[in-house]
Amino acid sequence: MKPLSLIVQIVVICLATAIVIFFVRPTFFDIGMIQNEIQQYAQERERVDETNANLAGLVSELESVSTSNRTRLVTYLPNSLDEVAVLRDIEIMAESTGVNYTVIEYVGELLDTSEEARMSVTESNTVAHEFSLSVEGTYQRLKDFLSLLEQNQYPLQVQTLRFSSTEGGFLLLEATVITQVSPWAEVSLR
Amino acid sequence: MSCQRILYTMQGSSDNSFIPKRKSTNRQRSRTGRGLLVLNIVSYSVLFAALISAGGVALYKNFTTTQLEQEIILLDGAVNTFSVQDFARVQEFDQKLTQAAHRIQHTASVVAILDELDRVTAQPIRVIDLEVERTRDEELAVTVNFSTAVIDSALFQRRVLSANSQLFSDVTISQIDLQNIPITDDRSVSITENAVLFTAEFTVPVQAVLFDPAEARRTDIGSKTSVVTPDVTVTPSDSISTPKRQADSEAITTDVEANSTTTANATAL
Repeated sequence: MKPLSLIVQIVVICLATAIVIFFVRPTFFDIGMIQNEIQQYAQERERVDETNANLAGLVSELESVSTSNRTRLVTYLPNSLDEVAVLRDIEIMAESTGVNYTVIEYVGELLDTSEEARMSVTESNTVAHEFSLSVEGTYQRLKDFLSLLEQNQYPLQVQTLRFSSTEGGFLLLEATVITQVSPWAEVSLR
Repeated sequence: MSCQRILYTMQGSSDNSFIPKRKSTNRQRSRTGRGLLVLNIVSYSVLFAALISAGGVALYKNFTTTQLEQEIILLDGAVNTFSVQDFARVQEFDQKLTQAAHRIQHTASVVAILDELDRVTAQPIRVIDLEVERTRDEELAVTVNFSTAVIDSALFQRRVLSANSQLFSDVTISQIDLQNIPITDDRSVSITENAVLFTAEFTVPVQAVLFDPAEARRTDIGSKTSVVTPDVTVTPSDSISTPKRQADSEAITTDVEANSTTTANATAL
């Protein structure tokens, strides 16, 4: 190998230094950035895989719930209210227990704008619909009527209740009951 | 002999010559050449190292870039496998379960209050009217107007309400009035008697009278029941069973083993 002159050697060393400074070092930096990105993507992929696995488990758990139980759940908290059906159910209960109804009517959606009500709605997130009813009968039969209301397949919660005496030894029961509706209706559970 | 003389003469002449003697530079030349050679090797090495490292990092960058692309493809695939519909189903189911559990945990039984009131009401005292108002999901405010013949009964009833009931709290007896009111006896004869009217007000925490499907009164009556819910239709056998009235029309049989639909609901949840 023929020795280079001193100036050429210095130029070579400067060139090598320039290569290192202007190419190798920035490329190393880029590689570091890319590796960080790879790590982040890998972590995100792990999280997505974990989420997918969790979702698959939850879907499997959901599917394991029997159709009848899911139907009961939807019955207990329907997505929408069929007020005619509710009126009919209350009427059937009144007839079944032998009480005479004078009024059974749908009042409307229960709107309570107080702070406590808003907190309660945030917690339960259901919409209440109010029904008003007025039935007459003996004390025992009225109790049976209330018992049937409580045992209904969907909640008929007594909000207000008033017993008062009428002629002939009967009692008049005036009550407002509310039923709950879950407003979520995007996807069917069945 | 002559050779020795010649040598001596030459040595002496060289010492005495006016021509400057040239110093020997062989050692210096060899040292400089060696330094240049080392520098040459170093410069070559540095240059080759720089070129090799440049090529290496370029290849490695290419490799890592490919790896990054693969990771992006894998992540994209994993994200695409996420089913929004399944997620919505699970969310809805979870929300419905939470709401249903919340409702079940706050379902008060008015019948339980009436039963308790029956238990703690002293015999000669009559309930004229009764009001129950639910205060959201926390408690029920009960107002009962009692009537009795003697004021001692009112005092006794106050003590019973305060001491003998575990359900009723904050019992307040108020509006005690002594009146002459018409009372109808069993033979439907109206008579006028002295009466003491008083009002009892108390609250019942919802948690104290939670509806228990297992202990619910099951009225075994009803014939043409077809409970139609907004989403499903339930056959009569699922809701209310056929009537079995006793001879005494007032007595209503209760069937403990009757199919409590709410029990099923609670079990489902």
